[in-house]
Amino acid sequence: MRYLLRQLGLYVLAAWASLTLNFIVPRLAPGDPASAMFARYKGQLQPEALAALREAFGFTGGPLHEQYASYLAHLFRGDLGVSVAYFPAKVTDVLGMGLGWTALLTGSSVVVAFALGSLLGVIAAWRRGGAFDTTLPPLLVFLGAFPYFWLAMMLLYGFGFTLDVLPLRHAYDDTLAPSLSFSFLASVAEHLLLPATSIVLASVGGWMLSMRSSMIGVLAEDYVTMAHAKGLSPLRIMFHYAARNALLPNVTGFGMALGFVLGGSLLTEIVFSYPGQGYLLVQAVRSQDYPLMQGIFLTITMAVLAANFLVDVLYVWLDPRTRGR
Amino acid sequence: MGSAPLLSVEDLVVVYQTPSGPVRAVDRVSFVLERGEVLGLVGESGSGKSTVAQALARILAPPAMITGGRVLFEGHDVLAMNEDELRRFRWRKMSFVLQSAMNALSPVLTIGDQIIDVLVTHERTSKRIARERAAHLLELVGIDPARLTSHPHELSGGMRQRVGIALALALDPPLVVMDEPTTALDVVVQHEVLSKIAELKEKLGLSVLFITHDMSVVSQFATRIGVLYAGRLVEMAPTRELFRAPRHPYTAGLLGSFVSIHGPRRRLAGIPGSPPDLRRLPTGCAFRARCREAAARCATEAPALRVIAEDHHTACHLVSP
Repeated sequence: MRYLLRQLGLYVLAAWASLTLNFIVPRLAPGDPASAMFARYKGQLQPEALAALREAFGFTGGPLHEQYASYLAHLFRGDLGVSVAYFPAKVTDVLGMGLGWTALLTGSSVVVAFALGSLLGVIAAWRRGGAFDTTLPPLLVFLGAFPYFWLAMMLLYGFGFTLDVLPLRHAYDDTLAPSLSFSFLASVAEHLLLPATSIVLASVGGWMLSMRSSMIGVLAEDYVTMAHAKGLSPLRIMFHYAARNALLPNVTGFGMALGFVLGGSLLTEIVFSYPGQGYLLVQAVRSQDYPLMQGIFLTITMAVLAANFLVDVLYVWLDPRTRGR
Repeated sequence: MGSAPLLSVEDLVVVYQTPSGPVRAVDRVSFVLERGEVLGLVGESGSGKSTVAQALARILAPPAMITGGRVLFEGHDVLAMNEDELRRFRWRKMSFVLQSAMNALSPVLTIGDQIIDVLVTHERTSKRIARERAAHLLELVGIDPARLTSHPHELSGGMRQRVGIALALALDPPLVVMDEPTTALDVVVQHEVLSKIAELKEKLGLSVLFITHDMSVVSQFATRIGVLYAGRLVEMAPTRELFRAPRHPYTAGLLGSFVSIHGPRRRLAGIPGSPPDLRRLPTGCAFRARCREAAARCATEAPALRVIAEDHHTACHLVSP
C-alpha cells in the first residue's frame, strides 16, 4: 500500500508539472493567445468571449503568480474556457461530447485487442511450431503492416458499402434519441463494430507476438516443468502457471496503450465520421481553437497518468513481488 | 506385482534434436531401484543425470525426446501410458524436488496454493481439507503453517527448498526424485535440508532417487550409487563398495577430487581435461581422452556395463572381474 501511495504522489507531481507547462508555454509566445484569436476572428468573436477567454486563460494582466493562481482556480472549478470552433460552447461541454465516444471506441478496441492477442499468443507458444503457431503470427503481422486507416476504409467499403450490412458513419442511428433503451444500445454496438474491428485487426498481431515470446520464456522455467510433474491438467498449467507469469511484462504495454486511448484513433474516427476526441482535435487544429486544443491536451495527459497508475495497481495485484515494498 | 522392483529402467535413450543433428544425452541407461532404497545418481554437468530424472515421469520438454528403452514403475510401463494415465501417475507415484529452490515455485502464487493444487487435482478433496493437509505438510518440514499464504519470494532459500520437499510428500508417493535438492544452498542450510530429508526418509519409509554432482552429499544417504558420464552409466555399486574400491577410472577420479575430514591426509587430485562434447563423442570409450590408463582397445570399442563383483557393475575394458 505504501508503494501505491508513493506512486500516487509521484503522479500528482507529474500532473502538476504538466498543468504548469500548459500555463507557461502560451506565455512564452509574444502577445497572448486570446488576443491573437480575437484578431484572427475579427468580427466573429464577441468582446464578451474575448474577456471570457482571457479570464479562462488567466491573462488578467496581473503579476504572473496571480495569473497562475487564477489559472489553477479555474481548472479546479472545471472551467477550461470557451471553444472557438464551437462558439459559444464551453470547452468542457465540447470535450464531453467526444470523450465518451472515444473512450468507448478506442478503449474497447484496446482491451479486446490485448485480451485476444494475449490469448492467441499463449496458445501459439503452447503449441510452438504447430500449424496454429506457424500460420497465425505471419498473417496477423501482415494485417498489422497495413496502415490502420486503410484497413478501416476496406472494411467500410466491404461491409458498409458493398454488402450494406453495417452502418457507414456516426456512433448511433440519427433517428434514435440517446437513452438506455435496447434499440439505442444495439445501434451503438452496430456502429462500433466496424471501426473497432479495424483497430483490433491492426494491433492484435503485436500483442500476440509479445505474449508469445514472453510465454516461450516462461515455459522453460522450472515451475512449469514442476507443474507438469505435479500431474496438473494442461489447461491449468497453461493459464494458472505459465500465462499468469508471462502476462506481467505485457501489462506495461497495455497500460501505455490504454493511456493513449483518449488521444483517439484519429484516422479511424475520420474514416467512420465517429464523433470522438480525434475528430475534435482535427477541428480544433483547423480552426486554431487554442482552448479546445489545451483541453484535449489536458485530458490526454490526465489519461496517460491515470493509466500509468492503473498499471501500478494492476501490478501490485498480479505480481506479489511488488507488494510490501 | 509384489515381486516387481519399484522402478526399473531398461536401456533408456534420450535424444535432443538440435539444428546440428540429434544428440544422445542419455545412452542406454539401465538401473533398478528397490522399495525403501536410496539410489544416488552422480555425474558432472551435462552428464545426463537430470535428463534421466525427467524422463522417468516424461516431463522432458522438447527438443528432448525419449527414443528408446523402458521405464517400469511397479511393473507398469510409464512410456506406454496415455496422457490421462500419465497425469494420474505423476506426483501420486513419483514426485520431484527440483534443482533450484528459487525457480521451482511459481512467483505469483502462494505456496499454499501450489500445495493445495496437487491435493485438489489428485484427490478431489475440498479446498478446506486440502488447506489443513497443506498446513500439516509444512509442519512436517518444520515451517510455520501460517506461511501458507506467503509467496516464494518471502521465504529464504532453505525454506523454499523445504516447501519443495513438503510439496513432494503431499500425496505420499512411493518414490521421490530429488534432483540436486541442495545445490543452490549454502553449506549450513544444505546440511539442514539434508538432515530433514534423512529424517523424513526414516519416518515415512520413502524410496528416493537422489541426483547430485556432489559425492560427499550422496555418500551420506545413498544405499547404492550410479555414476553417469557423457550420458552413460559407467559404474554402479553399493555406496560402501564404491567408496572402498571404485573400479572405473572416472569414479576413482571423482572420489579423489573431494575432501574427506576422516582418514589420512592426502593430496587432492582432479580429473584432467573436461567432459566431451556430446555432439562429437569419440569412438570407443567416451572417457578415454581423460583416462591415464587408456589402452588401444578403448579407442575402438565402447565398453559395456558388466558385472564385476556382486552387485557391482562397471563399464571399463581395463577392469577384470
